[in-house]
Amino acid sequence: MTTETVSKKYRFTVEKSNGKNEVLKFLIQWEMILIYIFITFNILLYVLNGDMFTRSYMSIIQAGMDLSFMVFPMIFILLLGDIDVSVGSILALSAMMLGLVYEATGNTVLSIGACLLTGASAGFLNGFIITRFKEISAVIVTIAGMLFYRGVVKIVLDVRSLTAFPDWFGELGYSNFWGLPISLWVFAIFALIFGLVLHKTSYGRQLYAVGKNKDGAYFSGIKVNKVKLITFTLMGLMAAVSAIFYLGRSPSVVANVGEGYELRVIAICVLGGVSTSGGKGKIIGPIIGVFIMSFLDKLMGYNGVQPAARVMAVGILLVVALLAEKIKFKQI
Amino acid sequence: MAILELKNISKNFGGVKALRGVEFELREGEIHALMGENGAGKSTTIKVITGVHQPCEGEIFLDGKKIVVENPKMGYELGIAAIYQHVTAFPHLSITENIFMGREIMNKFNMYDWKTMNTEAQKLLDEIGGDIDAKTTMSDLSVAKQQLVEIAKALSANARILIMDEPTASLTKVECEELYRIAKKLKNDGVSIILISHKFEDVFRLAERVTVFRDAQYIGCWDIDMITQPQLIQAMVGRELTQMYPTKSAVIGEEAFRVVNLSLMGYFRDVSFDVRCGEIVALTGLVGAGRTEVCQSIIGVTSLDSGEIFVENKRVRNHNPNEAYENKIGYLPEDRQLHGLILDMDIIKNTTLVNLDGFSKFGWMQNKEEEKKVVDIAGRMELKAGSLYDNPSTLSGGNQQKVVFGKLLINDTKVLILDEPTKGVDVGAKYAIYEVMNELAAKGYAIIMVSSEMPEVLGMADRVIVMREGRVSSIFDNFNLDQEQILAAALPDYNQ
Repeated sequence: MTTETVSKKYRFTVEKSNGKNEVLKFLIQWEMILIYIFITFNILLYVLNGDMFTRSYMSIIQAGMDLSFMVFPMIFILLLGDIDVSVGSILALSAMMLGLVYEATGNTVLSIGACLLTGASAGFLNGFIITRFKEISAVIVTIAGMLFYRGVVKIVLDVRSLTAFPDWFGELGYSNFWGLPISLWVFAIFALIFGLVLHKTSYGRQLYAVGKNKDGAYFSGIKVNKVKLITFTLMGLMAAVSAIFYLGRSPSVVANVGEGYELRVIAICVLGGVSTSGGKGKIIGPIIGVFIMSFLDKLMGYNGVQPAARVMAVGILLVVALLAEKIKFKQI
Repeated sequence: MAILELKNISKNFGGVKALRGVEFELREGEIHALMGENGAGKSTTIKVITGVHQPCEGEIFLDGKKIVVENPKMGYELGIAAIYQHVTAFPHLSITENIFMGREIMNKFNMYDWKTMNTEAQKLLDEIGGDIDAKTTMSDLSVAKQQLVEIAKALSANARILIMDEPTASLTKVECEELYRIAKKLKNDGVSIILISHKFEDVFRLAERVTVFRDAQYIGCWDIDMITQPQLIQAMVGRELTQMYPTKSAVIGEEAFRVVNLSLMGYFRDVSFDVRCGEIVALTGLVGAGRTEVCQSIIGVTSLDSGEIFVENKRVRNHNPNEAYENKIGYLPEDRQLHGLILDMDIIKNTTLVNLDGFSKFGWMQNKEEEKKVVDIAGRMELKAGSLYDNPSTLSGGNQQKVVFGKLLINDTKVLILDEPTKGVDVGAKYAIYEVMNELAAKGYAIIMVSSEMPEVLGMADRVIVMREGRVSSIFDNFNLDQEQILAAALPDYNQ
């Protein structure tokens, strides 16, 4: 249908954009800027640590993968205008459950099932409390969740560490398939699925609607509580998936596993252009954010920056990046 | 003697001409109405006067001297104050804090002197009347009283020119009267008032003169005694509306909807009425009579203590709007921007939000189908928009409302509950909405229209249900019915 005929008959077009400065707009959109940052880190790594660049490029990517699976559902939760800070604890709880069941039964399927079920249940519990008791905000509920789930892990494990896991877990963390890390393949598959769900399905549409205007969505017949419950459950489930890949890289579970992961995951989402006030963000930004974060971390590590200072650098990057985005939008 | 004069003011925003050489003259101690459809340039004019915008061309004279108002603060210091439609106060602070915001009174220790400020604020409030305590938190007040506080604030800054932007838009009849009284009192005290309003009653009862803008241009200025309502409408829309309400041709059929003894503690009791196919029933009454609450209970936003709802003689229970849609009841919320629309989501997505299942296969959105359907609906609604992929935030009030109406047409509904369908909508767009309502009635929809505007109720409804303090006080057939009868049934102190 041509625009011409539509506008004559009615008084509007179905054109999506005005054609002006298309190229420029494309080049300075946030996702492109993230790509520039990523390329810059690559160049820096190549110049400063040429040997690492050639030798351990894949392991840098692998290092960032275990928490990346939590990034996708976290995008959804932030889109809803909520937040989930309990994911690090859910990861620990799920990993512990996997270890305990495997220790007791030696059954791989059973232990992975227990792990996923534990994560999903913990997420569901978060979502249930958030939707059932509207007086308490998601941040409070999940802070409580963070403390509670972590508490369970600490009581059960105390100073113990679980070390019996299926042998092939190591493959997840360190092996390649067709020249790329297995974890990267899985990441790509999840990225595709979550991207399609967010941008192409009715559920994705509802996420945006609720995040942009909760009341408006409710009056339009969106079941806001159902959407939230699904999303928080999904978050828990993906934290459990992350737990499996975490175990692939460091096959032991102690009580403080995954501490601080929640903030890294949220930081990646925010760096990727997802607004914490809801309704704004795409899947692609945080995907690039995952790589930026692991490259930044390794880049500094190779060049002798202390871990504490590395965390500071991440904080600075976050603020600078967000300021840059705000300023950019003011000028256009 | 003119206190304020605008000569040949033009203002462009990019390529859009918001004002094209407009003229305006305000005399000392007069109430001067400024009318025009939405987008005619009223708000821009106000913003030029108060210093929010700078004119691209033209001159402003205050007391005969040329002035340049560089910013709102300067406007305030020159004695120009504006009270906007959506009150801009700090809702979580007290009235005193609001009134003295930015110019607090200090005591000798250079600390805030709340005692003096409270006394001063109370004095101001007592002056305009309205029985308000200065220590009350702003958000605890009704919209009407918040406006009074804004007026008090303007007076405390010694405003000589007071601009009221649609002050009665969300007020009840009684509250309007209160505002009229205060406006007249201010006028007698020598304050000059610019009144922007869509309501003819405001204009004819208060103003001495009226200036009309249309399409960013000055059309004319008349003494109020020299112009009639039809002439004013003609000046505003630039065409003659033979009547303000289109003729209804719907055939009234069988009962489509019935509620029996709906009750919700503290809001309404024993509300019963029915609506037939093709019928438009107006639900009216003072604000606070429980009209919106009844509607929201019907669609499941709030619960019901007791009572039964029937659609086509089948009992239905709605626990949320989704179930209401499934039970063929559509609802147009009173608050378009908060409940009706998602302002920063494109028109197509907004429209199809009410029936995502219908536009998706196995959860997969069918974008082509969506676009086709919304193009069709937008055409039927005569929507004026740049593109259907624009956000509703870029549309005028009337066109936003057309999008909300479009949402109702997506679903297979039978009963439409329209809560103040023409609130904040200009004359031309109102007419289009009335036409749509009649068209829908003709198609057999049963329509419940909640409205506070008497002429609208009388012009559109087949029957009129009047609510009073949470109960149905009267149901009239709209035949030889007049405003007085309706008002009498709505007023709490009326004895039957």
